[in-house]
Amino acid sequence: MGWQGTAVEMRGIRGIVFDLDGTLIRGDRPLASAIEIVARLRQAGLRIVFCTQDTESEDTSIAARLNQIGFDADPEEIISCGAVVVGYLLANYSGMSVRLIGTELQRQLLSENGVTLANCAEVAHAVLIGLYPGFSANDLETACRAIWNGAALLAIAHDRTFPTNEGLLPATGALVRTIEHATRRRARILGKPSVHMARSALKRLALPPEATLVIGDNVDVDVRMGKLAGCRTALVLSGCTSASDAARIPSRARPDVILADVTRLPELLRLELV
Amino acid sequence: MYVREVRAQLCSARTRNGAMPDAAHAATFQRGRRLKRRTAPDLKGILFDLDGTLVRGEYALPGAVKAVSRLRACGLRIAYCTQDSIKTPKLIAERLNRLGFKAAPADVITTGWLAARYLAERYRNEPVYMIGAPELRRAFAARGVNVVECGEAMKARAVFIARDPAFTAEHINAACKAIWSGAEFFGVGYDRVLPLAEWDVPGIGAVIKGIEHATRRRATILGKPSKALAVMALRRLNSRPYETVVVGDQTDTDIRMGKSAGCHTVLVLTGGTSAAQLGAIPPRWRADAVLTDVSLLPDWIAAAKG
Repeated sequence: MGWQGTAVEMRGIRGIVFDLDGTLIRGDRPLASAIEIVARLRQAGLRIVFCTQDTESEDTSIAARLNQIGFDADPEEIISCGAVVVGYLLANYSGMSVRLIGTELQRQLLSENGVTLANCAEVAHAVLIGLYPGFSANDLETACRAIWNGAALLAIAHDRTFPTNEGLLPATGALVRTIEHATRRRARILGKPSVHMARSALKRLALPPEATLVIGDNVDVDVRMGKLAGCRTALVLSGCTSASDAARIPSRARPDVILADVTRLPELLRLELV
Repeated sequence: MYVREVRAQLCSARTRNGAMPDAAHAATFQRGRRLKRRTAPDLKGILFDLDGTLVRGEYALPGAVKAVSRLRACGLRIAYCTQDSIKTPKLIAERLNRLGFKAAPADVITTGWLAARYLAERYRNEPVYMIGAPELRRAFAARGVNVVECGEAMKARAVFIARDPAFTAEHINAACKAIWSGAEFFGVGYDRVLPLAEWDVPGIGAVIKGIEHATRRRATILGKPSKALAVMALRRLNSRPYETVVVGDQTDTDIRMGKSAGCHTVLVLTGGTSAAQLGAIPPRWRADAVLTDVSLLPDWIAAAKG
């Protein structure tokens, strides 16, 4: 499948923000030709960051995982939701306590990086909703009570579903929507597609948004983030979006280009001309 | 006829307090509107919400018992309508009587039991997955619905979401899977908050919204503000919509049901709605009057009738 849109729009790209799952890797394995393509883009002098919704691991261990798969990744090239959340909390809630509705790994990551976590919901200044497949009515109640008491509502994402080996499961967004409805508040999203994530990536690339391409497999997450930040956007069909889904994307959410996978990215960017 | 009685009561209130109750409470009638003169003398029934309007958990709200008995003394028929999907109407009636409200089980309309009746008609002997308290599950089973557990949710023909104080993520996942496998999606209502005795807890509507978000499907609401419930309540009160006042603490459920059925509506601020939230209510769902609590209702009805 060719690309839709024109290659002219892609002139002047000097950095790429890659989504991981569904774009470069699937689980623990690289997608076809992804490793070579990333290497070729690097050779051509493009700056690269890998942008992931992971909130359970340090950037170093994400980089190590990528290296194991075969990508030559530096921890400096990883933009993880976990690190963005830690940065946001330290900047806005330093010295205040945050109530986490999330897994033990997320708790560890936050507390190891200096975030004060509240054990008692009544004293929390903010409630952070993470990916939490084990939540109960009690967690929901705790979160709502903290927000009714004046805490801010933060969330890592607003995704509807996430794929697992046993099929689809409701994702963070379902829990966030639940709390939003009960408290009449809108959550501040810190992961993709938020500007927090995009800003962090652009800062790391040290490039203006016009010179940056965001590429991913999810329209609501990756493409949306790129569009919100003013970057160029590319959608790949190697992940959660099928060709028929892609045909139904409303015009304002449509990416600049749609690719079958990352294979033709160097051609699209006319790298031989750079 | 009962106008005179309300007047008489107002007079006695005035002599006791030394001031006109109307004037004293004028500030609370934030959006008070007069009922149409033509329809006012026809007022026959009042439909009360329970949690947050008359009671909070096991306690009656201040002045609620007296207000209800005053209204009943004026010849108005009273019914109670609750989104509580855990207790049986009989249990709720017993609780109301204990607190001092007069209530027969038939005066209490609970959405859980209405839903059981509705779903039993449509899904007799068919698998239905539900999130709900054990009492309600038994009521479903007793009516011939095959209530399945989490593991068999994929087989379900319908999913019904009601209040279960002990639900977990596993139940939500099972409900989503059942809906993705093609089950019909029913919910008890979009309640944001359930006011209990000690504190508020998230309402069941929050969970339904979460499942809607994950599945991109809309639930069919069987409780408030559904039409079916309003029709049932009006039949119970034996009054027409314009002869009925719906009193509740939540716009999304109580007031919406009243408005869409064509009843008069009164919002009270003792439950899920605070004074600060009034501005956010869209004009079409604004109640005819907003009262700080239900004890002002008899005076409002008297005043509204002019």
